[in-house]
Amino acid sequence: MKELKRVALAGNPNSGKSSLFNALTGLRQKTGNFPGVTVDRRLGTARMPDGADIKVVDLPGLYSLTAGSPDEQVAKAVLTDTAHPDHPDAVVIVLDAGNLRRNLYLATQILDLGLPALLALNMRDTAEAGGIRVHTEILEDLLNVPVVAINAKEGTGVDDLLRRLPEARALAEPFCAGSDIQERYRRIGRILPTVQAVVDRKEGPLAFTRAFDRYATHPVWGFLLFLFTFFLLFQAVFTLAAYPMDAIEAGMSALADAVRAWQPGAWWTGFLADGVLAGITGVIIFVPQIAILFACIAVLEESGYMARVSFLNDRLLRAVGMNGRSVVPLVSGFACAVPAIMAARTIENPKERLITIMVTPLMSCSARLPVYVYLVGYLVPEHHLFGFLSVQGLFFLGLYLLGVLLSAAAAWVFNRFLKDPTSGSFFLELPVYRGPRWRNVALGSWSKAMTFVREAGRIILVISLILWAAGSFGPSGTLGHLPENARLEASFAGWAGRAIEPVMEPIGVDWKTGIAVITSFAAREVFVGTMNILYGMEGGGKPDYPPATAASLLVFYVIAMQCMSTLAIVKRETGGWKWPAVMFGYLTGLAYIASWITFRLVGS
Amino acid sequence: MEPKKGEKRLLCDLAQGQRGTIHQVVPCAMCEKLLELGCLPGEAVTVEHVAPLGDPIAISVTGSCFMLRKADAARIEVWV
Repeated sequence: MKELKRVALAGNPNSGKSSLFNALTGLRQKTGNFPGVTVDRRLGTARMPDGADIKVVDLPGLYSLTAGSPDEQVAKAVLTDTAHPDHPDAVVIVLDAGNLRRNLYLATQILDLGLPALLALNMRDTAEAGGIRVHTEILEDLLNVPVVAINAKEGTGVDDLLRRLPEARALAEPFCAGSDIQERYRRIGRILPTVQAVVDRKEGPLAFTRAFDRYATHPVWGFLLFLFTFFLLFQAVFTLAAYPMDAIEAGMSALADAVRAWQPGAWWTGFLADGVLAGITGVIIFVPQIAILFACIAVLEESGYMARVSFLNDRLLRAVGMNGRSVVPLVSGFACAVPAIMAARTIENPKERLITIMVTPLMSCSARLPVYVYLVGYLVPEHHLFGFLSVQGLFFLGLYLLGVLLSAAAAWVFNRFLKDPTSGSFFLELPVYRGPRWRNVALGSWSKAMTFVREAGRIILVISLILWAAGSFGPSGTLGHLPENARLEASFAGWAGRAIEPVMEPIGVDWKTGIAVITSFAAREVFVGTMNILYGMEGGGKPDYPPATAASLLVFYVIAMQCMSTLAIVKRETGGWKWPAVMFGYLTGLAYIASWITFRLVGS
Repeated sequence: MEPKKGEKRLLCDLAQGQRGTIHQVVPCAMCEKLLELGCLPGEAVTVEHVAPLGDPIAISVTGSCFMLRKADAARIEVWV
């Protein structure tokens, strides 16, 4: 065999492939896309016992190589096309010992491609608890490729695997020539009795899974459990994230003050403090919520519960053209639409995936919350019902629900007008429940947060610099001599606010607030900062809106597409400007109409 | 394994908890996928869970449990 430089990991979903990848590469890994397609590609570096480094590419989890879905096509291309940049010198196939039969179906398909291979037999402990013992040596003899027992969760056997990797070999003749599915299963069935032995079954995870699922998939208890779980999840996200967010805010504003004090009034201290630092703050302030939300989602995915949530909700979501897997992007949308839309790639059906992407921005993301908080006081006083139920809290819930209801309506409309070229099938394994692997959770949440910083952060930063310039310079040149609020009014931003006043007036918004609506296009929460400048933060100055204006603005912020980062990510995920343009048009148009109606209704 | 003769039904018509033996997957766009997932003639299959509104259903077959929509379950003929 030629020198080993690059190996691929292949295996069924839930076989422990990701855990093995993490055990092999640790932090030396990065997530991206396979060239030309939106399929996650994880590439990492592992150290061989002799100190040499090899590249490890993690292929998508598969049940077979019959190239139907994009995942399968990519995996097949990587394994068969010698010119593919990720084509490996050897492939490590991960097997779940508890379901050897179906796992061997994919494994023997890959072996038949003629690549040098090594089998990693995982989860022998759970298999034995379920009454099956697998003989590693016999499997190795029968298939004539090296087989190594591993425990990917605990990381044991990984050294062994690396040591034996150079022994990886290709089959001399195919295990099953031809593509007959039943024939391949027949041949696997022939070797299984020799490879597996029946042992005493412990009523462990399997019995627990059955018992728990009776409630988790129940029409009543299942939904209650689902709602309760996600209620806890959001509680955790908002309470836990508050501490780091306060710290970031305090730290960055102290830093900005220090920079301004350096040479007060100079344009360059303003540029650093109000352009660069404000932009960076606008990016990292969201990181805690995003990281915590994705950690929680990873725990639910890893434990196997998310598959049950998909099972429960599939029928409801299908009624509006989505599917059970849409729950993950929709829920993630409450933190940030950017990673949420990326999470939609686990949806195989292209139409259901597109609809999910198109309605995800209607979930009220964390950037909208400060705006809601700013405006709610105009409509509802802060007091408690029965001593504990905050009226404003209930009002927030109403705003979130408005987004959810509109997303269902929008999805229904898209579903009517989009064609579906596929059969509309949806298969999903309901794996045995197990404890989450914390390493996977941590790495998953870290990589999602980094994705946000990379994809959304760049755009937010650039737009904040543009907005700083638009707010600091005006048609008459530099405005450094003016006080802050007068400067903003005389600036290009102020000029733009006046220019759009005829459009904003019917929804009850004057030109000053119009400035804040324009600056929201960096990130929605910039609204609050701009208003504070315009009306003077020191005196706690706020505009004296009539309730109709506040209500109209709230509705506008629930619906409008004011996030460049989201549009950029939609362009990347859908491969063109068509869908981001449609998204911008329908959301902003709908927002305008809804705000107009709200303004009329509340005003009368 | 010869399927035990009984009554031939479609998998989508089985009640929760009912067992059967797969007779065949009728040819369709998804029949390959169903076979690959382990829905092979002669295999025992159990309807484990039925989602609200009766769709989708979760079945266990060849050692694993997965969900499928009723329209796909209607492609699988079973002896019960």
